[in-house]
Amino acid sequence: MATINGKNPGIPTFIGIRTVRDQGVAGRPTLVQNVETLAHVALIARFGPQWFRSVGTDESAGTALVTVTGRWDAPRIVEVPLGSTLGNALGIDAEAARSIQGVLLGGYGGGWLPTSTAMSMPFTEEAARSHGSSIGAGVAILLPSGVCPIADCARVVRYMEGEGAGQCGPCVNGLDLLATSMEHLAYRPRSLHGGLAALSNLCGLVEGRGACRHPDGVARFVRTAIEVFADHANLHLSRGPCQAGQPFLSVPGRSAGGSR
Amino acid sequence: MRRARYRLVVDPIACDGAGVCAELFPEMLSLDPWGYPIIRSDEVPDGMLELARKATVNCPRLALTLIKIDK
Repeated sequence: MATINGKNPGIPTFIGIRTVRDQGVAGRPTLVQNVETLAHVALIARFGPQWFRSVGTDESAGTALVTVTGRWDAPRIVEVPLGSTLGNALGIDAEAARSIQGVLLGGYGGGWLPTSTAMSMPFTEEAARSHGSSIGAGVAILLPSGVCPIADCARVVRYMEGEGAGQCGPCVNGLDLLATSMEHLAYRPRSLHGGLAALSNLCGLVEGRGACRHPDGVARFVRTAIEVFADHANLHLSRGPCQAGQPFLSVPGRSAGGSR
Repeated sequence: MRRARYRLVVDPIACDGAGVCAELFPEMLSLDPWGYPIIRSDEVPDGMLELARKATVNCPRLALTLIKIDK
């Protein structure tokens, strides 16, 4: 929005209690749609609402496109009927689920879910939110066994910290400390003063305190990571760091095994 | 008729953590570990509107705003 308005670089602006619906491009009310929504609208126009509603739930009709990493050799885009299960769409049964440590839904600003929850909950935004996650950007990453989830998440948090616009004090300071704390937990657990509770409190210090939602997304990522991988995190705290192995979650500019 | 209700909003981009607001209005504002204000409640308590106003006009960055709550 800032870029369209001629601001360079396009960084978030503070619009207080208003939203772009009230004041967006050139100060006018602005509608923002994603491409998937427009594609749905075109199909609804062609085949009608009845056809669209024949799939999905009352609250979430139709389907969602999900980019799936960690299921096949390369990432794939899968169309999932809303309200059905991810396990069904990906062909993952209880046996296959055993080799997945956890599922990140919604991308790096989304939230981790226990594999069983991710595979069996109705695939809707409402259900995802009730479990502290979000379908968000439509990305599902299945974290395989054999990688250290804490070390992997620490890399992502450090990357996300670097992606901030650097405008708001709580975000600049808080995300750096969050990344450092995750790195402590991963590699130097004794340096993490206050344990997992301190990490959780730190999340609370950045949530809702930026001009944009970037810090909130990172906080959700961390909160759900230490919840879903609590056993692993506690092992770090009690016995020290594990042999991390190859990282899995890919971060731009750094190598990772995300598409193996 | 009900008295108008207000809340405080901080512009986090403009705010540079001077901390004046928390000094003037500690009833509603505290500072985080880096010196940026945390607004403690959603609404300015009854009888504290003058304190809130004082905090907003004394912010060196004019980053604190008093906003009327609709309804």
